[in-house]
Amino acid sequence: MKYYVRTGEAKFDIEVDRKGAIRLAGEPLDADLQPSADPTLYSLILGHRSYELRIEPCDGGYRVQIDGVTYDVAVEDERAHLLAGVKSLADGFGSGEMAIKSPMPGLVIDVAVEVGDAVEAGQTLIVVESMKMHNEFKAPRAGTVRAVRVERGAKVVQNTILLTLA
Amino acid sequence: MPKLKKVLVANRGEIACRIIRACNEMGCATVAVYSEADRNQPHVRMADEAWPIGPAPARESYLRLDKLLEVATQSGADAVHPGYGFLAENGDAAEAFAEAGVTWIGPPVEAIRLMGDKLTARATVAAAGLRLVPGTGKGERMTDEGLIASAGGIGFPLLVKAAAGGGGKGMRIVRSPGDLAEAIRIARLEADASFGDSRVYLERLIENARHIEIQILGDQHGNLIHLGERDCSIQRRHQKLIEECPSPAVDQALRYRMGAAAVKAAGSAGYYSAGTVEFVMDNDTHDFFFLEMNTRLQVEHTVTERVTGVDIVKEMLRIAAGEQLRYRQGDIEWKGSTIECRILAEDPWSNFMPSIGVITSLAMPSGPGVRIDTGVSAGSEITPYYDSLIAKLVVWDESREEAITRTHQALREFQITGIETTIPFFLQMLETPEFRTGKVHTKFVEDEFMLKTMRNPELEKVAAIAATLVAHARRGRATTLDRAPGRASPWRMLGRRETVGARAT
Repeated sequence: MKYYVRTGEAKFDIEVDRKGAIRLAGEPLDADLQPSADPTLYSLILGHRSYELRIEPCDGGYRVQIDGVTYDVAVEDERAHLLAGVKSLADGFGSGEMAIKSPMPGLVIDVAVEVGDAVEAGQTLIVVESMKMHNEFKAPRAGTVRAVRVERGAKVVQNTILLTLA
Repeated sequence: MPKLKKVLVANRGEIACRIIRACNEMGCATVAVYSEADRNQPHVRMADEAWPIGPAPARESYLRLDKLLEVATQSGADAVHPGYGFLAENGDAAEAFAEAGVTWIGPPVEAIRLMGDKLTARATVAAAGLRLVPGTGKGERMTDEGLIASAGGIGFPLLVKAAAGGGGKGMRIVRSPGDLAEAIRIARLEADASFGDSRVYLERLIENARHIEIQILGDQHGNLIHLGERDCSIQRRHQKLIEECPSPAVDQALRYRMGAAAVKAAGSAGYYSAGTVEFVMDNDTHDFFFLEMNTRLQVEHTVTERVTGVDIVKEMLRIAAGEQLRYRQGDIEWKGSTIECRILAEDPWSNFMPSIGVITSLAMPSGPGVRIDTGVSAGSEITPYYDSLIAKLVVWDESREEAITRTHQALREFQITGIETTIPFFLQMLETPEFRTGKVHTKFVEDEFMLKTMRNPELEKVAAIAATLVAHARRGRATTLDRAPGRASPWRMLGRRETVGARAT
């Protein structure tokens, strides 16, 4: 099975065959990954280099923690890779409707935009207070405010859609 | 005064655990309190008794003085330790407990009130001979000529500030005497437009400042000593991130001068128990000026404990019970170097946004010189209701250089999943030449430090391979990667675990 793997800006083509043999960009690799009784704890021996890792599944891949740093790794098998290619062509790049969600529960302190406003990338849209701090939610890209789903003073739970951009 | 028998710990998180430990060591029983959000937190399990005090928001639980008094009475606690935050610097709380016959493990009520008010605190310590940040004209109406005439005594650069001000409105930085008149004119216009009040005053601008604070300890018999300084210059929006003792900018002579000033400040307030006198220090001149006094146990008391060997929380318990201080100033020595990193549930990549969720796994570093104070465990939920501190990593070694190296090692060993933490920030901060040489200031994090994207090609490759192998195993393929025959296949083990997990859900 072929996998297309990305972390940060790095891309890797990794192949695992029926016998478990691994190739990285076509080169054979000597890799031994062992899980443990702790569901996120793994030991990887690569060649004779030993690594302790924490691995957790997340949307579209895995979060891998090594030496205090977490790498978000997207893993696609051949089929998913092909499908993703088709989808991204259909969507175009960075257009389409986009929901801005609150990653945490909190209190809406300010709504800085209205429906129909044109916003620039980086512009503050909504401020949510959580853990005694004010968190500004900014537009990840330029667009138009399609809908505002919350008002000032509203309590929001995690993953509440705050507004949508088009 | 008799020994304390049962202590109400009116706090949560790591500091509640810290206080419970000290009580256990002193043979005092402990009473924990918890909000609805905290039923499963470690401080509840660690204490001898645990009492619910209300819903998650602090105003409805940890700040409910009436409920805390009720728990103290019903549980038969003879003393209360407020920790830090919540009611720790609330004079009314200290008074109410005292009236209920419950000893306040902290300073006298009058000292809390005196130091809690910025104006009376400044006036009190100024009368005791401490220097405040030089300035003139605050609270009085001065003419332009009067201000200009007094500027020489303040020194440049200085700030022209609106008396009614805030938010930088009506504020001007002046670097040379020739620019002062014009700056006052503009500041007055701005202040008048913004606040309807054209009064302005002058204050020395300390551009290259350190935050240095002195730990003091005193008993109820008039003995008062200092335990040296902590350098808390690595901060962001006034939130301290790293604290260390000793400060790379303070030598023994300066330590004794600052210590003596702090003892004077505390003495002027009739202080006893543990307290902290905060100073702003000019990096260039080493002049130091009183900022404020914190009338409570401080988050970063740990670094002082490690370097001096004094257990500050146990001393607070002894002092509250009326015992004489066991140390004289001459007994206090500073050995080696300690650095504390505040491991916060905040995402340094997203402007330190709070990270909320369940800690899915937690493995903390250990080894020589490594201390961790925490109030969470695997499975703990980080909620939006309280501060984001999840653990304090306190690392000692013989020299500052070695302490930095050891802290770096400990940070790499610190494994926590499910939430984002400030660990990547510390890993990078400890590598900057400015931190390593001790040449930092209080605006360093905000104005100069840039968190870099970690580009480690080797570890990116390792992460990619590991994630791929996990993904492959999850496809349920009957493959094995074992080279040694007879070893249990990791993939079969994984498969089994997932089957069990699937059945359970």
